[in-house]
Amino acid sequence: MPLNVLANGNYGLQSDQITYIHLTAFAAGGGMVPTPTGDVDTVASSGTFAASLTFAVTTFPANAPAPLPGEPAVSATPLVAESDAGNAGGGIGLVITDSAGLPQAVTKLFDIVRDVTAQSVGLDSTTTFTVAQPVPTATGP
Amino acid sequence: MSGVPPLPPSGIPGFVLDDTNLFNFGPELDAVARDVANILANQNAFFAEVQTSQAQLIASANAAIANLNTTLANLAQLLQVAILGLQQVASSSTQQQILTLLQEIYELLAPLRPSTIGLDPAATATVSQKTPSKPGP
Repeated sequence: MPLNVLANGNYGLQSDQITYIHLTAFAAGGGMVPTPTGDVDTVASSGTFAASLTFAVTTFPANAPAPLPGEPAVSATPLVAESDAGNAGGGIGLVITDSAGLPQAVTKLFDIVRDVTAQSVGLDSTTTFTVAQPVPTATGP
Repeated sequence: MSGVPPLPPSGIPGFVLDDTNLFNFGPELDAVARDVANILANQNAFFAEVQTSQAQLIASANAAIANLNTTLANLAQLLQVAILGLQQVASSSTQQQILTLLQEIYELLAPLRPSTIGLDPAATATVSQKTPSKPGP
């Protein structure tokens, strides 16, 4: 599944999820190619809110969709519930250092967003509106 | 007048493939028109099949190109190792010529050699975690 791109152009990562993203080398033409033999990459977060998101070099877990399991990946683990435009945070950068000297391809910044997936339906009792009607003739109850 | 069929509403005989109008041209022309209609239907089915085959062919070609790119990128890596090794030991003119040849092939593969490292944002997976207690940002 592609990363969620927010209105500000940043990638939005849900705070209740660890996200794995494919780490790969790119040829001059832009195509994905295997990394050089023996290549080692290290990653770190950057920016004002770097402490809110941890990156690590790893591989896709076994339950990832095929053919991803075992492939090189960067895991992104949110350490706060929210860090985005909503609370004047976000804009967290990713820095990749490559032992073979490959420069980092341009990567968008990351924001941490709350899970806004609908889970249930109900009433918001703080938001109401009334219209007058005649008192019903039936006495009740 | 009984042997002359009336013209269809379009006024162009044979150009309206509608049963109601074709019937007026008599059984022979009607049969021809039905054949034409069948041919057109078969043609549409054939075109649909061609489109499906074309999509499958493009997908296969893209997969083959991706595999070829990977193979050539691996070859470039092997060449790099061979060139570095040969540079250490090449002494005779023949060995130097082989080294030069390998270097030329290596340069030809330059567009397929890794040039940057980064993320493929289309290939991702997620694992649930408890929402962090720190509010942020």
